[in-house]
Amino acid sequence: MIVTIVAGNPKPASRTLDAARHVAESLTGRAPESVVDVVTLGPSLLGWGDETVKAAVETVSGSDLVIVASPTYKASYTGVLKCFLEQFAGATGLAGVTVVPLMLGAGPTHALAPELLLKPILVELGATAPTQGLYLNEKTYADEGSYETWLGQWRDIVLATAGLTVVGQK
Amino acid sequence: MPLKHIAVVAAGLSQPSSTRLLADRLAEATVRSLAEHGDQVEVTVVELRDLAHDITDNLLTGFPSPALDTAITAVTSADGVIAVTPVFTASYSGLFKSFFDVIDKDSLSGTPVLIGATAGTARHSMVLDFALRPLFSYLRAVVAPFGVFAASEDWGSGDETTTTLPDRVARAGAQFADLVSGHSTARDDAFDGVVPFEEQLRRLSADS
Repeated sequence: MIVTIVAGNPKPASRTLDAARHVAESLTGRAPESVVDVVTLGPSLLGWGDETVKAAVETVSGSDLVIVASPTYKASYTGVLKCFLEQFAGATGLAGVTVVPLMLGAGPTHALAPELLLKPILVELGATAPTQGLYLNEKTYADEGSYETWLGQWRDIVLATAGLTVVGQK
Repeated sequence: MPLKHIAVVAAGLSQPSSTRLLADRLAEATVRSLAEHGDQVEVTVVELRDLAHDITDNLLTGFPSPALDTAITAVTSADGVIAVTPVFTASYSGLFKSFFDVIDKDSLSGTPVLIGATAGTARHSMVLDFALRPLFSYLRAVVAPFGVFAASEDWGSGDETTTTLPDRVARAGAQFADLVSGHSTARDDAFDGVVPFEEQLRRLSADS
């Protein structure tokens, strides 16, 4: 099972990226194979056909499990993350990939954003999104047990879904 | 005659783009309706495609380039904003969102906004109410109830089940003009609601 984390924070090496790593490790018990810190792709994100961007897209679409993470900007995912997601082929770009939509914020007010706003984008690209979108507090996500309930409810389902992906049929 | 400033934000990528075309049609309809109210209008068009690199730089550095600063000021000081995006992956484009990510969250508070979107198919008609309206609601803008979504086929004669695009554009422009006409650019003073210390003391002594 290939696990990748994607972080769409305008700051590189952000808490968003760290939180995505935490979630990936909590789910699988090991570090993710690949990391896409979207902002490091730079201005190439604004065009089409850049080789580095293409390689990042292929890494994500070739993964079994992807944690797609964004901070909450203006009550939604960031434009930076959206620019990256627009690089995938419509309807099929995330086919066969199990995703977990993850968003971070300062308080609970936007807790439904990953479910309402981020998940539909991933599903539109063909991803399998078996869980409820996960929203974590940007200050406490690393605390033990901060998303224990979510993990208890979804861990086995995520692993089963991601593990059942047949390699080579993407 | 009062002068109203309308800022048009268009996030189309191609040239010419149907997004820009829809934005222009909405602006024309708005200007026409405002003229009926007796308002003069100045329209500023902000093409985000031309500012793409400035916007990403701003996200990284926290500071706008002079060109982006001019565009942001045009939008945040306007009496009304027409915001039109192409639909990419079922939502507003990343460039469109990035522009609104860099503006101050209070800078459109109370500003009338007319939302529009273009897409290849009518399948994405819900984007106005599912993506754009919540974004501007968060910014506390006054989002006109009538937004305009245009699918590729709308640019033709339309079909019998929907009103034609020109008709929808005219109605949206008329409603938006009503909102703009009654709108004042004066922003709330952050200290308006603050009770002076003397007054607080007076109230305390009156209570006791």
